[in-house]
Amino acid sequence: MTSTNSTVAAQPGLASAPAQRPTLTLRERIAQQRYRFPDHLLGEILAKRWSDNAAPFLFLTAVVALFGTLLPDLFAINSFTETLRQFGEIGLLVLAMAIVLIGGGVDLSIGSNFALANFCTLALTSMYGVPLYAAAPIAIAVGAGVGLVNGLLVGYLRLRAFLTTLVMLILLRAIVEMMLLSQSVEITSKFVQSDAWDVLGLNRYFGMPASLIIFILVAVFFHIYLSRLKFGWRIMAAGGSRRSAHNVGIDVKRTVCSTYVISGALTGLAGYLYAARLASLNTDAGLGLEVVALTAAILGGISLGGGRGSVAKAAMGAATVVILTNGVIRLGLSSGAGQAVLGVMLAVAVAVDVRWMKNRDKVLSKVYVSPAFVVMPAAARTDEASGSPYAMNMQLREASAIGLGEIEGPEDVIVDRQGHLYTGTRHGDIVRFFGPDYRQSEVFCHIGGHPLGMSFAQNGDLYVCVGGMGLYAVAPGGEVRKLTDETNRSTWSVVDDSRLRLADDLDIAPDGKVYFSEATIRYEMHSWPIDALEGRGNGRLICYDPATNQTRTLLRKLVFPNGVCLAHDGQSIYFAESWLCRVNRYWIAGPNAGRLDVVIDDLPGYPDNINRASDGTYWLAIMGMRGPALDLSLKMPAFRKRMARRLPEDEWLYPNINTGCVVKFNDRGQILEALWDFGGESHPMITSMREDRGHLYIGGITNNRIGRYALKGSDPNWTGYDSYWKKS
Amino acid sequence: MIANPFTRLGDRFFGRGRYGVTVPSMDGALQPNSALDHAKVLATADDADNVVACQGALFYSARDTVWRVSPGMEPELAHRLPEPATALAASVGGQLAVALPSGAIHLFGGDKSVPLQAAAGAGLKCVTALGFAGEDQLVLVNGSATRSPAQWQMDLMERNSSGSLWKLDIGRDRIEPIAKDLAYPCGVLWSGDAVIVAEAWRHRLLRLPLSGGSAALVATSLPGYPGRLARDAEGTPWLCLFAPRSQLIEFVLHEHRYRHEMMRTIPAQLWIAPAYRSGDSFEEPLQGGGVKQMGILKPWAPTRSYGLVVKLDADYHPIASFHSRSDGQRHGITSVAAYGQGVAITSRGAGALLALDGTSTTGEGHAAIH
Repeated sequence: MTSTNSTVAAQPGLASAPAQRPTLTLRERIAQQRYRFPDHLLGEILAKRWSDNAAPFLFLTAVVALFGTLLPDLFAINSFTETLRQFGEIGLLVLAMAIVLIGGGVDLSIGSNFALANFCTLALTSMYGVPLYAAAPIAIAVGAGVGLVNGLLVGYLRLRAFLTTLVMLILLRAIVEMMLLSQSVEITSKFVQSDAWDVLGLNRYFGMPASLIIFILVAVFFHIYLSRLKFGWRIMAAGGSRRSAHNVGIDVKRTVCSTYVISGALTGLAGYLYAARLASLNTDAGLGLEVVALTAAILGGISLGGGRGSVAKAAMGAATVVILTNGVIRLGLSSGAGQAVLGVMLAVAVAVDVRWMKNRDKVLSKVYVSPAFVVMPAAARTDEASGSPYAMNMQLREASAIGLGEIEGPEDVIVDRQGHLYTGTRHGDIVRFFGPDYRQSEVFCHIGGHPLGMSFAQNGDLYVCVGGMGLYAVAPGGEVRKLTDETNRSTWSVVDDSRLRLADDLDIAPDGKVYFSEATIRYEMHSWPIDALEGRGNGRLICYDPATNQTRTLLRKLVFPNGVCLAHDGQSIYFAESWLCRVNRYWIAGPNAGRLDVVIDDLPGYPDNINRASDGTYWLAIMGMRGPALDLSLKMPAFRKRMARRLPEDEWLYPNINTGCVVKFNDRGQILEALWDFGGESHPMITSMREDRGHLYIGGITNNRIGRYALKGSDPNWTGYDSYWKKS
Repeated sequence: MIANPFTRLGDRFFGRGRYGVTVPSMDGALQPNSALDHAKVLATADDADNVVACQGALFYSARDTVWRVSPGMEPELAHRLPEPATALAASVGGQLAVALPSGAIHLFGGDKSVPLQAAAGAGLKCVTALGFAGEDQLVLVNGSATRSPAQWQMDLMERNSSGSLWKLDIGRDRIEPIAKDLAYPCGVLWSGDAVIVAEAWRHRLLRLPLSGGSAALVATSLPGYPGRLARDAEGTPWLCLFAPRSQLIEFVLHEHRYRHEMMRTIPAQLWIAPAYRSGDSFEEPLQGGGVKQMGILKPWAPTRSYGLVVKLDADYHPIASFHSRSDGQRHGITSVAAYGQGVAITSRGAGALLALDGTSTTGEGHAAIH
């Protein structure tokens, strides 16, 4: 027996004789090795929003590599500082464009607005003697003012963003040119030289020009603004869907308007920095910058459709465009080449953006499901002539029905000290049937999620695992209380796995700690067939301690763990791994604490709940039976993946959960008896059974009744509650 | 046409084109109902395979016996054969032809029995259907060159198309081929100077001139595997579809490694393959839609077996259909014959000879509208 064996902890051992493992061909062994690679992470990474950054990042890397090779001096310190100076200004403009795009609009006026800010800065410092620093807020305010006009027209008057800002582009350009004509002589003649020009335009700090530092500060601010503050979230929401944003109470008009104001202010800042750098009036300042900014934003991966984008993407796009344009110029191509390259890039980026946005979910759904290589041992026989302990019979036909047609989906059943019967239903209720005849029933409480495994605590509270919600407690009066719905996040998990997605079955140790299983962390309750298709260890065993209110994960990578049951001696818990058709034992106390044993590994079907029997053994529900066609596919993950991709779920090969049975096993993993309703007249599938006062109560998650079966020769006074909590 | 190898690779990767798994929906005249489940039982007989009408009586084969069912009478044993019958045919003049796995064809007429050995001589061991073309000529289809009729699932899973169509001169006991390389032909119907052949694995009906010559497509993209054909009392053709097509099976037909492993290691009744009956064992493959909810199996559940017999118009297009769906038992309809104003059919799934009367053959009686 394993209990006498006190070797190293967490070493899987086998209590009874191991089932025969099939020998694998060379090809299968190669496949087995190949599927050790965690394919499923690809889908999880793609599900992350930051994975959208991959394409622009790769493109940026490619551009850097290309021009770094073609022009070895591109990144030399002197020339690169100049590039960085430009990058600061362009970056601000791209950020301006990005915020409007994320808000679902477009701002074409930033080129002209840039020129206006440039003109204002120079005019203020020269003609009116305003110090350069003091000119900054005025330039920004002018830019923001232009943005406000745009924002009022587009946001409040609902004019088309494209046309409105195009008009603004022409209008501002005309104004700037008129003022240049009349004022340029005066501005140039009265130019005031001061140190401030050097600070902003020439000097470097930590190797960086001032404009770059300002850009970085602004970028950090807007990163927080967009991703962490309500204002940014509203912009995202309004850009993603105007109507939905309106429906959740967001003032869409004001939000849209604010994006243009921000855009104008950032453009004003960029124009100011430009003026400080060059200090010259020229007619082509800011000419065509709107196209540059737009290209950079789209290249960075900011969606034209709105609602998707980030500051990091804007920065990547800006860097790409700056290196690209500088590189093309240095290559000595003709002057129009830079524009041509930008134009082509814009077209390509828009095409990629549109295709990706359209197909993203499709790609994700195809990549996410990732079956594992599973080798199943030969299944135990079940035919009547085999003499197997699992041999089929019709004993459960004798079971009488409780609540026939009244309840749907009784996954687990339990009886309290007074002899009343409780079960969960798929309507999210716990229903109580009153003993001793179980004709009358009432809704004991409504939880909302589908109640699965149940156990009584010492104080009479009913602890219950609720699919999609977590671990709950129901007081004898019917008051529902949440115990826990999260555990510690795994260190290296890609997706946040701290939330409980499918708490399945639980049991309570003598010290009050609750041990429960989470069947899968990758799928919702109703997607269990996908988890079965994957056959990967997606589940875990978790412990909740009511004394400290702490929840900790004990074991990971379990294959659909289910059916947690405390051993009679209170030293270990039994649990089933459904898709591997085996029962494990995990030691929680005594000299073996922390050790994991396999108790049964050749079940002919998929195990579900485990509960105590009155004679010191255990009942095990087998919810479905294995079939050779599905078993064969378990060794062919690619076959299952294609099946998942090409066929609708109703056509998939499923574990056969139309037939089930109840078996009894002892602590050595020996099967003592089996109870079947072969033919499935009243209990086609069985997910749980509970012994109480000489009867076995039977539940099934796709059934519409509870079965009550009289056990011959069992203790008529034995109850589950006393077995756990009565001190002898 | 030059096939682009990249197209093929792309199709294979994306599961489209020739690698597609789409199955025609049962719509229009093929709209599902449960008429077969309400049909009257004429006789219970396991393995009742091929029923024919002959001068007012019905004859059906069941393993190595042929039974006669006269109106209002119990079935009586008509002939005992040396081997199990694979196909039956009856002529207007009252001759009855029975094909055997050895290729021998026994002709019963009046009191005499004539064995014809020409088909055996040609090596035909899988005669799946017979038909008289007049009184002195038989047309017959050999389903497969390598498999017997009992191994039809194997023939499908091997994706064979080694079937052939022949005509047999009864008087001289001579046989000559009309067409080759057919994908499991298992239904034949004489129509003047041509025959209609059901090509099961390609889900279609062909029209082939008796004198040889090219085939014309008559009906294509059937939602099941077409089997035997017969005419009712008015001369209207009827077609049995002995098993349904399903997306999972179409998918498995493209999965070579899985399919071959399956054939090598798993008993045929547990394959992912069409069948005459299903649901007997929990070891059979179960598909998602077939999970019982609240104790109920949905009639639309994907299934490996199905009952379907179709009434055709003069152009061999469906005009009415009679179904037994996933939740029914009368699956595996292998033959149809004129019976009174209606037809008689054999159901391998239910092991029964059933009668569809004149009223329900209009197709209006039990239409299940969902």
